[in-house]
Amino acid sequence: MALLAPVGLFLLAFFAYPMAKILALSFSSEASGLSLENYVWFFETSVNIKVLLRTFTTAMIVTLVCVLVGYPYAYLMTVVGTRWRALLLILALIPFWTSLMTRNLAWLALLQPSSTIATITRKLGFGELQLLGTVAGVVVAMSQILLPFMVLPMYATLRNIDRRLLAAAEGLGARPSVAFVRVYLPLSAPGVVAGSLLVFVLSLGFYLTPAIIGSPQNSLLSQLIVTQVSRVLNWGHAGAMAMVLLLVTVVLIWLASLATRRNAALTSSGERS
Amino acid sequence: MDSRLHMGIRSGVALELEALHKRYGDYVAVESVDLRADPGEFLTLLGPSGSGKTTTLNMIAGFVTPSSGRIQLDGGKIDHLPPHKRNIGMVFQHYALFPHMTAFENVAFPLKQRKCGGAEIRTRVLEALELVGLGDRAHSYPRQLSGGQQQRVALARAIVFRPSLLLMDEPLGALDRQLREHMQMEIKRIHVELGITFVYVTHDQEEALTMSDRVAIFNNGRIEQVGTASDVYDRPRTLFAAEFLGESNSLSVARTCQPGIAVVAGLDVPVRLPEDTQMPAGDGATVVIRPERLRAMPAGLERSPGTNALRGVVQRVVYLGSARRVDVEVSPWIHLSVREQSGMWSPVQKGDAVDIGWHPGDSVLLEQRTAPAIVTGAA
Ligand SMILES: Nc1ncnc2c1ncn2[C@@H]1O[C@H](COP(=O)(O)OP(=O)(O)OP(=O)(O)O)[C@@H](O)[C@H]1O
Ligand SMILES: [Mg+2]
Repeated sequence: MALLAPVGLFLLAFFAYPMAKILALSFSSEASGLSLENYVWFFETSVNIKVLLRTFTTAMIVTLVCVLVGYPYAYLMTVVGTRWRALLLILALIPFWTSLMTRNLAWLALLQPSSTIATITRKLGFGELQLLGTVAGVVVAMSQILLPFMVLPMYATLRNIDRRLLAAAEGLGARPSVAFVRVYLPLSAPGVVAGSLLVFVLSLGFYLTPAIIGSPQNSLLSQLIVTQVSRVLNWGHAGAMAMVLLLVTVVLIWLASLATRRNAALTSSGERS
Repeated sequence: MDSRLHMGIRSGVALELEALHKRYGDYVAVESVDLRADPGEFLTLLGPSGSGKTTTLNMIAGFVTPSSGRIQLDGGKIDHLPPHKRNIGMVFQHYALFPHMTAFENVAFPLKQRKCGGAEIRTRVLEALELVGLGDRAHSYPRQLSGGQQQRVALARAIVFRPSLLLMDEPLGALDRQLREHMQMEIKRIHVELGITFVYVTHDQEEALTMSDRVAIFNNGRIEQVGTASDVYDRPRTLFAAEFLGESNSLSVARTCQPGIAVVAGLDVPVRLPEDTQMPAGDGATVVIRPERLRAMPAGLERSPGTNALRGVVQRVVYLGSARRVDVEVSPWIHLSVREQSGMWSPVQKGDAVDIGWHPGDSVLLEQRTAPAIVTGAA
């Protein structure tokens, strides 16, 4: 217990206290003490709702892109030899070792109308692909940056799936594709949920990428919060926005954990001799 | 017993393996295996670890592609069929139950693949679970079942779609002795009840002898001998078969002077063989006798004419519960073990001089040299 004290103190000082402070701010107003004023403002301002929805859609699309790219990637890692697996793992981890700023600036360069990518897509007849300053561009960059958070938990789950179960399913009359859908896919669900949750929650609060790649017209909630804090200097509004974001996130995590608990409990200790 | 299960079940098929080979690079896992299982037969593949039993079974099921050779069911080639089209039931050593499905869903899986209707699936799954004695655990997940129960679910899943051939790869390997013996009886009962062809893999010789109609003994990817339990036990054709199937005594033979007589190397004692014994053409032969066929008696007592006898000294007496083993040194290079059932112990003790006798019909002559160390020692 004594060993936990420093950790407790640390959390208290740098997590609980700021949290409480923001919570207090969100319920305060300039005129009177305690009020719901900030929340009323939030839900009455149509721009806020619009941005909130855009934030959710963006996060969902980013999550979907990460699942679609991350699943085959993680799957590949489980079937290749040890050398290739190490290589794939390193490739997946590289983004962790480069600073977020560097990666965002790299995407900024890549998405310029004069960049090689733009030139190639133009030549291929895709026309003028407008990515910089759009939600699409933000999604592309965020997906790349968040991909490791999808791949790693997924790989951890897929790696533990007993591939002999697939052979068993085929022996029982299932075509290989059916065996995959009926046996492998359900067993991989906990990894998909864990990765999706991470990516989704991180996307909701992402600031740097939308700020650099996106545009003020297409801003996300985190940008709006920063605007309230640094330009408008309305801490109450910013607090209310942060609380809404936090609440939604917590509810989502709770729902997801409910959904996976049964599944994870069943597969984690399954027969695997 | 559930008589409904008989209805609609085809009886077993004939399985035929012809010159089956499997190579992994330079390594030969299975080498020219020729084997036939008759319809409804219980055939056991018995052999030590790494002898190619699983590889053979996997080639029959279609999980492993043979390097060469043929596999036929009822005279029809199945080599080209993928596993899901072979309609062969298989029970794996590791059960391979789907952890995210209940026992019911596991057993229903093969029926769903065959597009059976919901009502039919229900009755057939419950019947199969009933047959293995798990009717009341239909809604348990595999992790909630004991090893023996999981094994039964795997068995139910492998027979529910009425395959005409059932493959079992060491299905009882993970169970304790009591449960094992119980499951052996259950499996035999199900075999009789369904009447389908069983190919059963084990490395437990006792299990093989008690359960099978015939046993195929595997060694280093080859079949050493195929035959009924008493064929392979009482009339082994190779030293390996003799030694793998329980204990055996081997005496290396110096020469064979006349039909039916062999001279033991290093002793110059003649030993009578069964009358119909084919005398070896080349040199090098071994006489093999099972320990329970030997009788020990105090030296010098008169023995019945026509029996074989060797004199030695009791080195050790080992108590085995239902029997005891008397180890006798005949010469520094020749040691014999005598097995005496409890209640039939001879009055010999450690250190006694004894005569070991046996009936000529109980010796088996093999055209193979026994372990080289003894041969050179005796020379
Ligand atoms: N995929 C493979 N690649 C290379 N060698 C293999 C492969 N599968 C099996 N072998 C080799 O083939 C030999 C026979 O293996 P097999 O699994 O058939 O043995 P087994 O008789 O079932 O043994 P056990 O009783 O231990 O299960 C072994 O030496 C094994 O190492
Ligand atoms: Mg095996």
